Amino acid sequence: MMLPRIGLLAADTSRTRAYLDAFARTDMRPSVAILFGQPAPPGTAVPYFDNLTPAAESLERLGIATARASSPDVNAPEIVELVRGSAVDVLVVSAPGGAILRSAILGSGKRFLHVHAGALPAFRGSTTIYYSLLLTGACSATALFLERRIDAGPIIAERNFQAPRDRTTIDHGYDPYIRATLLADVLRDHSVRGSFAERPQPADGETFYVMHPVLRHVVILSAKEAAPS
Amino acid sequence: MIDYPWTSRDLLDELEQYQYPPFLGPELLRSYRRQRQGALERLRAEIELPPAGGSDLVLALAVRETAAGRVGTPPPRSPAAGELPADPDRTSFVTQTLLLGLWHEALAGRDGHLRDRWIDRLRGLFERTKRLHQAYAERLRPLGSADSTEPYALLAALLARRCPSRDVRDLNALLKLVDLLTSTRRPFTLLAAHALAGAIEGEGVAMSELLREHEVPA
Repeated sequence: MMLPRIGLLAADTSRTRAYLDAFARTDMRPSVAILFGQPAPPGTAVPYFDNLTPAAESLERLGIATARASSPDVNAPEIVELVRGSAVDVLVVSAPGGAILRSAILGSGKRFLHVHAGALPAFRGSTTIYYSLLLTGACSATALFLERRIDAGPIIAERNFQAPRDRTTIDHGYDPYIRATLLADVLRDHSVRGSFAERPQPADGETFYVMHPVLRHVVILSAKEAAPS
Repeated sequence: MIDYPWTSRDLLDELEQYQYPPFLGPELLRSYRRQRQGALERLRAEIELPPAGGSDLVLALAVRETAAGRVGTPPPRSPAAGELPADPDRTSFVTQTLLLGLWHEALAGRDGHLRDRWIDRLRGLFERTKRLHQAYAERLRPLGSADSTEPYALLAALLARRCPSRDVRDLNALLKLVDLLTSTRRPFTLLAAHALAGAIEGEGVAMSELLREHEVPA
């Protein structure tokens, strides 16, 4: 099922490949895509989704009309122009890690749906899946619309997930997988309701910065089980 | 055996963003410990610290105060530091002066809430940019160079003093500050050396607690 008001703005990353895999599995797919940057190398096989097929190939297989931009920067003028000219209201964003949408693209007249790997507002910022595992023993994903303040826009949906059995493939496996799983839920819900069920987010919250590799190793090597909820 | 990868180049010359680090297994934690131990041993040799647990930032601050003609216990508030500015969002400041002011407040046991807000703000500033500039205008607009080791060392020691095992965000910034300080070839003042030694010791205690809590084999 094509979702006529929804598009995809993506670089070829593990997250994008997880999203495309979820579109194929659920038959819920955006009607157009803007694929930017260079094609990524094949990627590592993971148990959660097809991380090997290049994004361009999956988009073609899914029949999603795709515009290409060579810039790897999501804020590049050529990408802003493509976004402005796209026929959809909402773009699902899957930019490379660390990319932040600046005012030019946020002011393009479109809305940007992002899936964050953490509960909000408790875990705003970067590498929050690791912080969540360290501090709560579990993971969450939250779908939201992006605004100028990072991870502070209206929340569309959220979902909790168990800790992964294998913590060595979080970055390119479990993190993209939980985001894609929630995205599929959100698109399914949208196809039924015809709108997104959004609610404002409380202003207070904690911002985390990219986790230091030593702390990441503590998270990955931790033998501590999550407390039963 | 691997070398700890995040101090092999001068992080004041080249930013380290810590994006997508490889998983190196338990050996990474051992290499981290060796690197920090080596750095502490070199510092001890240079500043004649006692063999363990003896870094004395209080003494170093007092020495500086004495040299400036001011003596007292706890060290008096530096007139240059003055009162802590009330609003971290709408203040311009000289980073070194502010950090010394925060140290004086900490040692005198005053103004805990405001001090913590300022330390949080400096921690966020460093995390966002991996730099501490000489001064900041309103809205944290950076002014001057970011090459002096003393502000990084003083912030690291403040975070270490706040018991970073209680707030993983403090420990995260502390690890990055110590990486930067132990990677650089820039000179250290006596105060910066004492502050770095205290930071490494505090970081070590917090890491040991974290590893124990999360049942990570040492």
